[in-house]
Amino acid sequence: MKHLPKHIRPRWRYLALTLESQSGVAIERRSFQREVWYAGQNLLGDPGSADADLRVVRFTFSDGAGEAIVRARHGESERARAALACIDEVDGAPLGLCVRGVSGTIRAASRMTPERALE
Amino acid sequence: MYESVHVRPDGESDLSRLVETAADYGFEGVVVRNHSDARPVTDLPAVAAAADIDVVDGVEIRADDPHRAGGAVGNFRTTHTVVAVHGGTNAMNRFAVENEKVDVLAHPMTDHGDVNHVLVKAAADNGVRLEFSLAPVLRSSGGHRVRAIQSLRKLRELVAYYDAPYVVSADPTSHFELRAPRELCALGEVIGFSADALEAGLREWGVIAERTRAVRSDSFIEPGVQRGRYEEDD
Repeated sequence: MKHLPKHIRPRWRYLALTLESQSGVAIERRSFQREVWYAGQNLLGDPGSADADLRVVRFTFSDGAGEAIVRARHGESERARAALACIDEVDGAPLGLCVRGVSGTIRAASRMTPERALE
Repeated sequence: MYESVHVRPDGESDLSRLVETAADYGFEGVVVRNHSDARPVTDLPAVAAAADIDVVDGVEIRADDPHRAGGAVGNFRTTHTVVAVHGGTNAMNRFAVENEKVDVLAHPMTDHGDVNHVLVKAAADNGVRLEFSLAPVLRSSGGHRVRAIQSLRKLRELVAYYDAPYVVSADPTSHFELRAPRELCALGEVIGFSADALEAGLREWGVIAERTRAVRSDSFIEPGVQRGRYEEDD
């Protein structure tokens, strides 16, 4: 289908996250995405998670630490933040998580994490 | 804003690790609230001296019945800055809110605990803070979480009606379970709190610590009495 003209495309907010787990644990992007969806659905319900439309757009994780960028609809970033806070484990491994910043572009969001592993 | 935490052996992380993470997440201080039967936090003064943020020695008194808790409150009150009581049963909830020496009634609604207008009024009269524990909202799911959110709502309505003092905590037992203040406020808004009320609850831990320290300091004489200027004898 032809893509939408620019002024009616959805607007997004990108949440830059730092992730932390036990040393030696490797978390996969797919598992993290699944937990993000579950967290959204469990906290916000089906309509709320459809509105927030959470998607992991950048992800890196190795040896117990990582960074990610999660996309949410414009105006839903606080609800997205709340849903992300409720992720406490991924594949049985405990997950610490902190939103380091919210931005309108992936590029700017990737500069908000301390390690800048996604730049 | 302050967070209250359980450290090893009560929790799963060392104090220094939790303090480091809390500082990174933007907390101004940490209240160590290990249960009274899982005490040893020997490194607290050393960690507090080295930390960038305030580290407060607290205790959460866990006892089977009010008689035993009564003795523990007396003992810990003289040595600890923040004294909380592990709530969750009707007997312990009632004991805590009726005791002026108690700072915080921790998680009164967990398990099958409950509060009513009588307890909340008593808490307001005695200055005992009721704790809103976000732990089950953050770390459980399904029916258990639904009931936890329901009970938080009940407590919130009672606290608002009687203007009772309260604290808010995510009650983390490891540094993975810690969440930044902004995340907690966002979560609070989803489950019906206002962000301001939640922030005030996180700040209240600091208010308790400050007050206890002021009362313990040498310049404190008794409530309402201040040291001031006086006339010199000729």
